[in-house]
Amino acid sequence: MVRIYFFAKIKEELSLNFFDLDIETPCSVSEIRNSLISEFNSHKYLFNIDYSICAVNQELSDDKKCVESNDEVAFFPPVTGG
Amino acid sequence: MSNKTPTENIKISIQESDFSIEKENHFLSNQAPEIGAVVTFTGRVREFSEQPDVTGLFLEHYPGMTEKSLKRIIEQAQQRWDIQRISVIHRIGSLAVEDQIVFVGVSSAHREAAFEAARYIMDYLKTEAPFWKKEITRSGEHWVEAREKDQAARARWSNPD
Repeated sequence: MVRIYFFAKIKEELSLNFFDLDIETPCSVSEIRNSLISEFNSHKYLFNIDYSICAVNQELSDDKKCVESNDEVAFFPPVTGG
Repeated sequence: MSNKTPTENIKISIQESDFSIEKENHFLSNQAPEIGAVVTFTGRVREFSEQPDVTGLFLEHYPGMTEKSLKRIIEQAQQRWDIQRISVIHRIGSLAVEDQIVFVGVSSAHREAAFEAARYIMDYLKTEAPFWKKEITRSGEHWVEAREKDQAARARWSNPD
């Protein structure tokens, strides 16, 4: 199981601050993305690689990044601060 | 050299409350005769953005990652330019039109380093630090979309002249 945190539009659209994803670890960010797409099929565009960014342990991570069960994983839209 | 240690030279603050530019100027230059230049940038909530009738903003961030990300951006700027003190403040929560949102201040012996480092920090903040803006308009609310021109502004730093 991996706990996935959501921010901004993703958090709002899903009405969830986080979700405990049932997935075998270690796994890749890409596998997490695909599981989230099947889990939240009606909102699958939110997890499209062109839409959301993944951070593992608070570092921006690409889809090949390996995730362990106690890692902090987050998905969020492109940033718009400043 | 500044009589402050490297960590005392850096200030990062994520806060709901407003900030004082005067106070930041003091932090950037007090008791430092070697500092010859202080460059500051202040971002404000403007009325006209994606839609013409913006009345306010809501700012969300990723606690923990935001501070880490800003720290890294500042360290990269320190490696690139000879700068003395750096202050970065970003407000979160609900803001109204004309409110201050973001502050970047850099001091150094000479102006070139301070100007360039301040711009570099701002360009990276806009494209890497995990903040999200939601615009509140008279006709509803919407999350602001990321802009190509911000990516382009950042990309400039990877191909220095």
